[in-house]
Amino acid sequence: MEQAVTYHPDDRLLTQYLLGSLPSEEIERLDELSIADDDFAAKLNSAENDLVDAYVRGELPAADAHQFKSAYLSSPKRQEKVRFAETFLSFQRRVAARPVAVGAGVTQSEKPESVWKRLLGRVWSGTSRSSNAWFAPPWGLAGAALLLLIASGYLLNRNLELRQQVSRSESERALLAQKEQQLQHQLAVGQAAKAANPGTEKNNLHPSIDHLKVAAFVLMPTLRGSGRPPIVSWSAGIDLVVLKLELESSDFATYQVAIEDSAARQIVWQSASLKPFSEGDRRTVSFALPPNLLKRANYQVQLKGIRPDGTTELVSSYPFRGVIK
Amino acid sequence: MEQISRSKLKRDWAPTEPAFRRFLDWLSEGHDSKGERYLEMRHRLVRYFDHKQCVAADDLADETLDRVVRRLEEEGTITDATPAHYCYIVAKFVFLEHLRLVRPEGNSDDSDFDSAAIAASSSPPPDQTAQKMLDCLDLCLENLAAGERDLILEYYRGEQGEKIQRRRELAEKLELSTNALSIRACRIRDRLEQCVGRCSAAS
Repeated sequence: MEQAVTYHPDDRLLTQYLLGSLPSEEIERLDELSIADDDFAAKLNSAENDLVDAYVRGELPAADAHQFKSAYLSSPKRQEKVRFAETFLSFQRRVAARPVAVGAGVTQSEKPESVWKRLLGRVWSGTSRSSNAWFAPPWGLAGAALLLLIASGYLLNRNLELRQQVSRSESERALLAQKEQQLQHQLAVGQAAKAANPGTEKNNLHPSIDHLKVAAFVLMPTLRGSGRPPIVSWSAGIDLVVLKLELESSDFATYQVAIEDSAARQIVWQSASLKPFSEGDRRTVSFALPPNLLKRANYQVQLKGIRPDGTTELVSSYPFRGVIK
Repeated sequence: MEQISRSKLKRDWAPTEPAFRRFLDWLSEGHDSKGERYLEMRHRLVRYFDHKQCVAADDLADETLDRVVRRLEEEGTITDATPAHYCYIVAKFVFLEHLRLVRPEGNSDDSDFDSAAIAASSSPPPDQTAQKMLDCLDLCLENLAAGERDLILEYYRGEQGEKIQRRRELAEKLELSTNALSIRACRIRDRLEQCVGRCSAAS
């Protein structure tokens, strides 16, 4: 039986092959390996993705970039790969831009960031829009992140379960950092934590997670003819009020919520964009706010879907009555 | 005449289910790859024809696989080459036939592609298309399992220089060889690309 010889070419050879700049005999040899040799085929796949990424990032040497345009881009399929890479890069930059906006001149490329720092940077970038006074050194944010995680976990499984999640998260930090959904959620909680505890980071860089007091509630959309609004009650010492809205449908990738004082017809709080979560077959949007924004009154949470062009559409409203115990 | 009817017969030949199953088994060399090996081989063949500047790369890959299935059906087994190598041999013939068909002698242009059409389609997508693709990527990433989503985002993150070290660390963390990690990342990326392609075409 004829057996293809396993071949371990270096990256440069693979690049030249992909760019069509090898002599024809060499091309034929590598053609054969690209189909018949598993190792080579895998390396070629990987090299092709990296080559396309390097092109869209502008990292290719001039000669390679020229060859890439004239040879590699001659196929519609490969153009598709490039479009995907451009999209993927835009996504990565969008994610990466968040900590850069906040990091006081420290960019990601200057030194590798820990996942916690990145995670916190994203939370931080969301909160920095409304005020810079909350700024603290990056490690001050570590405590805030713990607060954020605890708050979101309380909503789902109460503190104990979330602490386990935090612990797991630390061990999986490279993976955790990229969870966009979680970050969005934490962003919402972080905004509230910031407003609720403006001096915390300055005085205590590592606030204890045990001291955070959270009141969490699930709200359902308004039904026609529904009776009295549900009560959202909290005691005076509470740090955060976390609300989870159950969605009737999930027509949007992102949402925004606004809380309106029903009597005064005044918006008292508005969120940044929020990503919905999946919980089994249910979709929910969660956010948190400082209790001092609320008083004993009737409120409507207005849930708006954010269209791709940035405009919003009112999706549903969730009434509740705020009660301070 | 006999040649024409034989050729027509071959062209009209379609693999039966048992023949296809036998082919899958042969291609996976006895392991049940649940179709993965077939998809992988098809992917390699499409890439081969695409790099050979064949505009109908998918059709030629399918034609190659059909021929291999047919040969296996006729012969019962193929022992003169490994399955992957045999696919390459057939692909080479399919390519040469294709060349004779679409590029008659005297035509020095070795590409099927219409350069004007390529120039038009390679221009950067308008903002709206780019935004649509970005929205689709968001959705497709959400549809991945959390571990896969994290892996692909981490694997392809950052500048070229820092990638190597990061990938090494990621492989260590996931207790994989860098090679296995790279294969896994490529597979996820392939699926994402397909998902984004389908989503953008549909929306």
